[in-house]
Amino acid sequence: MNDKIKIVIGLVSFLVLTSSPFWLNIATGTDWARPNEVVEQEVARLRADPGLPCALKQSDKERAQGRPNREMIDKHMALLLEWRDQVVRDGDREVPEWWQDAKGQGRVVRGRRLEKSLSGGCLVCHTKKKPGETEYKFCDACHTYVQIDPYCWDCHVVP
Amino acid sequence: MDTTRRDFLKAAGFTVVSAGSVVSAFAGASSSEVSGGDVARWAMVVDLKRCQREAGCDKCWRACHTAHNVPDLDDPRHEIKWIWKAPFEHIFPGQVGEYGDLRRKELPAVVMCNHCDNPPCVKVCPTRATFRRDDGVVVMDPHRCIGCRYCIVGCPYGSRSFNFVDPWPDRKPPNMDYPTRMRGVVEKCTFCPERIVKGEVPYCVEACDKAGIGALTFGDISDPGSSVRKLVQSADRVVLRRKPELGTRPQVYYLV
Repeated sequence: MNDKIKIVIGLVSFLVLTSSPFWLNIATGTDWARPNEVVEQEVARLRADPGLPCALKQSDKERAQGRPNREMIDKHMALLLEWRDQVVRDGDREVPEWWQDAKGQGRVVRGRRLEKSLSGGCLVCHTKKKPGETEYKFCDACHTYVQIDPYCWDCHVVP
Repeated sequence: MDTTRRDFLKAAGFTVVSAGSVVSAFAGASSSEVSGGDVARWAMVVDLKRCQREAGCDKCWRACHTAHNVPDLDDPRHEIKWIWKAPFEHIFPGQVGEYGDLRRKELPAVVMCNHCDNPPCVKVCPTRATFRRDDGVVVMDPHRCIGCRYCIVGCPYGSRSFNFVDPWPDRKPPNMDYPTRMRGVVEKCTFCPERIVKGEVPYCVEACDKAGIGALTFGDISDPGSSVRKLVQSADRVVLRRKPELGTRPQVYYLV
């Protein structure tokens, strides 16, 4: 019953080790991107550019309050997989109706005709890398936060 | 149990009848799909006379490989090819006998995926990553490819290449509008479906026409009025397909 010191040392080192990520973060001052902030900034940035098509996908309430598009945040991955299968396997390249112009083709946004594609559609507006920045912002703000690493960029390239 | 024998038999009979009607409804639907006949059937015709005249020409495969981000790797074991040029003797082994035109034997001509009507690569693919579209184009879906390379073994034409290494480690391919591939997937010629849908011909055909050679013709062979159909039926030329005895029914035709 004289092992008090050993036990205390063991307990303390256990606590230090398990809580070390928090201390390390505080010590190094890492500014973890808070995904909601980044998404809200993105929404504000895109709202400043009228006529962008995805606003149509947003609910009226969200648009009025300037909130991000909840449905897109929740379901974008399923939508992308669906598009991928439609384009690659069925050859169905018709753009979604909220991207169509009067003739049923993809709208021209920023000098590019929107395609049913991640890099040729979504990322025309939601630029992955902002000019002058080395870090991936919009996509990776959430992806990094929830620690997922989509393999899209193993093959697909973003200009 | 309050189910009487009579109730049970009634329910069983009803189940059998309704199951039967569902099955017949599905059977009707599938037979009507098969009979729909106005889908295009894309095919390519290679005029060997014109192609072999330009022995040193590399325009078709350069155009294709640049547009589709096919890397030019130094190690020949890692080579990736969608379309390339091979000596006549390799395309049609044994066609020129020892007393034939030996010069023609050596002359290179263009080869690519034959987009077979009965593609062995599709049959062996365990994940259906490679499949035949309704318009006959045999395409690869790299998302599903697990890199087993059965298709490479299955293809009798060597039309498929495997990415043994990361093709673009710096992520800077020549065409930023077209995806690259990753290490561990198979790739091949796709007859450019992204261009067909816009009513354009594949890159190789466009490059060949631009160079004024006109050796490649692309079109819908199921249409009796199409140029490919007319070429394939031309009376004054011998029309060959590669290894027809294998029953793959290739849709790349060679005018000799």
